[in-house]
Amino acid sequence: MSNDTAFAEWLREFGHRLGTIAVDLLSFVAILVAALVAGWLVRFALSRMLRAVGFDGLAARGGADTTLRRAGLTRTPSDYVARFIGWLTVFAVALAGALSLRIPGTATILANALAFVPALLTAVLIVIVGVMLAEFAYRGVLITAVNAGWRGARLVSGVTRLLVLALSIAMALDHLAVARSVVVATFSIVLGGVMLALALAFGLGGRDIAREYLKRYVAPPPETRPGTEIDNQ
Amino acid sequence: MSPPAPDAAIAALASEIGDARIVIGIPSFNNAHSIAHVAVTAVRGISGAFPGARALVLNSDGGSGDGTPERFAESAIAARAELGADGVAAIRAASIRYRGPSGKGSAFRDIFEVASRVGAAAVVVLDADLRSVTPEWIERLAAPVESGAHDFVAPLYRRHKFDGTITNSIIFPMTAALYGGNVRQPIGGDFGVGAQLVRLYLDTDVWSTDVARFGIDIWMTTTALAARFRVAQAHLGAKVHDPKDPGHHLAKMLVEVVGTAFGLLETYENVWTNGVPSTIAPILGDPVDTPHDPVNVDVGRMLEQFRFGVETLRPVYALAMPEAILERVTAVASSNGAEGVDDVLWTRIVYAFAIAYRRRVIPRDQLLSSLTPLYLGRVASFIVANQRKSDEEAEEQIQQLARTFRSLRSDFVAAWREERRP
Repeated sequence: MSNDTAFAEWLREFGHRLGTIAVDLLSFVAILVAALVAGWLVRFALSRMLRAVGFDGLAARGGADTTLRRAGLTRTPSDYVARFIGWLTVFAVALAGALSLRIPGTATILANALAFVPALLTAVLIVIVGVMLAEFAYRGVLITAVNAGWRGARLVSGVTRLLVLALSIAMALDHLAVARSVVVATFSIVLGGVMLALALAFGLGGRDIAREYLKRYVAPPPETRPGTEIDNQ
Repeated sequence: MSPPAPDAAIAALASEIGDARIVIGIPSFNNAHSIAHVAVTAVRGISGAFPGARALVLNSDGGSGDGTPERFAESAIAARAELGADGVAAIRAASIRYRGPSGKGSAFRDIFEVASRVGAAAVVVLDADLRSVTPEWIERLAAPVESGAHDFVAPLYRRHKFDGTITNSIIFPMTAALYGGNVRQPIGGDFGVGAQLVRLYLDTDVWSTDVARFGIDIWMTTTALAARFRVAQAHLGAKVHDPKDPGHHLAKMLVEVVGTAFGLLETYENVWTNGVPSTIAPILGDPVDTPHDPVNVDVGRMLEQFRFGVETLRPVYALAMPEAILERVTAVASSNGAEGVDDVLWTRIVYAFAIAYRRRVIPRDQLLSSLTPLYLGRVASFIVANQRKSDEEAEEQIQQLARTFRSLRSDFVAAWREERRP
């Protein structure tokens, strides 16, 4: 085989491969566009549906909208849920498309991703419920503390919210098996620290009451001197 | 859904009694120290007002552990014996253990059930801890109903100008504005009820709800007004009863009483959103000029609770009230008592909370609990404004508040219909 023939063969092979890659690339771009459209459609439909069933009202009652506003997130809860599911759809369709193109490694990525989705959804659900519970507990403690005239109403209710949120996030991370030992250790330290701080605050704030209580109920009664009658009147 | 069938004990009791024209019902729970006076007064009241009439004095007890039913029986027997053989034959006395959830409403239900079965023309219910009840109460509550002139008689007590603040600030003006009648003590607790209304009460499916536990008084009055029964009021003098449980906090009382009243707005939506009758429930009998207990109030503490509550609960109030009302409330709270929660502001607050309650912007118990500091601000403002005024002048202020509730009623109805904040 002459050099010219070999070069021509290489060129043909190169052109063929380039053409295949270009087709694959174009197909992938088309799939990506389709995935984006599918994601947008899902988001649009879901957003309408959630609004129709009064999801935002339910979320407001659970305190989710207040929490979102406090976090600087100004969209409605139904919008966030629709966006999340929409992007999940984009990811799933794009991955499925890539798999059909037999792009190397795609199958492994898809298998791992699909295996991860249920755990991820559960973790998201745990956090959403945690946020709602945290807001419910925060408001309940705040109102009760204000009605009882506690000056530290904001502090107590804030700590309550933080604890419930921290617990839900720790549970979600543990569910995802993300740095389990670190999460457990961090949560234990934070919870222990908060409890210690509360114990110190109550102890220091109420030490006079505690002293009176101990004097009255724990300390031995004063001895009566011989010959002194106890006044029973 | 019809209420469950009465148990055998009620049927047996009604069968044993046969018929009775008047039934005096006394709901109780651990009232051994006070029920004797109420039972004796009931017997004397019947013999005085309805001589020779067949009557039943019925104690409906919630399972007292202090011997309340026994104390009731002893005192009723002794009181009947005083009347001689005719009195013993005409007036019967019995005690039953009521069914259903613990509460005054469940006790009333069994009283009504027995009364209906014995064909009573008038039922009078009296609290078991009353110290100021007199035989005249029986006549004043029962006679207008027994004669057929009225279907429901609400009590009209003589009270200190600063007593009964939940009634004066919320329940009376709201009930008067939305249902008419101008019933001054809608949650008084002692009532006279006619046979037709008793039947309606029994046929209404509320006996497993909060009405059975704590909302019976406002429910009975509101139902009588909403169903357009003939309602009257009777002068009874002062109401003196056992001191209320100090553990029963104000916030809890607001949740129970105001929650029931707001809940009834949903039940009777078709009534009060379609106009309010201008008729006023007539006041029967002459005023009884008895002295009432003094009321000690700490206005400074109330104002501080108001200021602290408004400052701290602002995020909650932002969900319950329109911005304009919240701004006004904040300005008043920041004025250190220079400005008060006036009638218009207070009316707008109550109506805004009623809408928020309906929309469930936050859990209902939390919403009603959060009303406490605002309520304290209103009560403090009322006390400051009426400190040097007579009882009659203070009463005129309360009537003026009811007129304000009426004047803002159309805005409230519009907001309710549109499910938006007023």
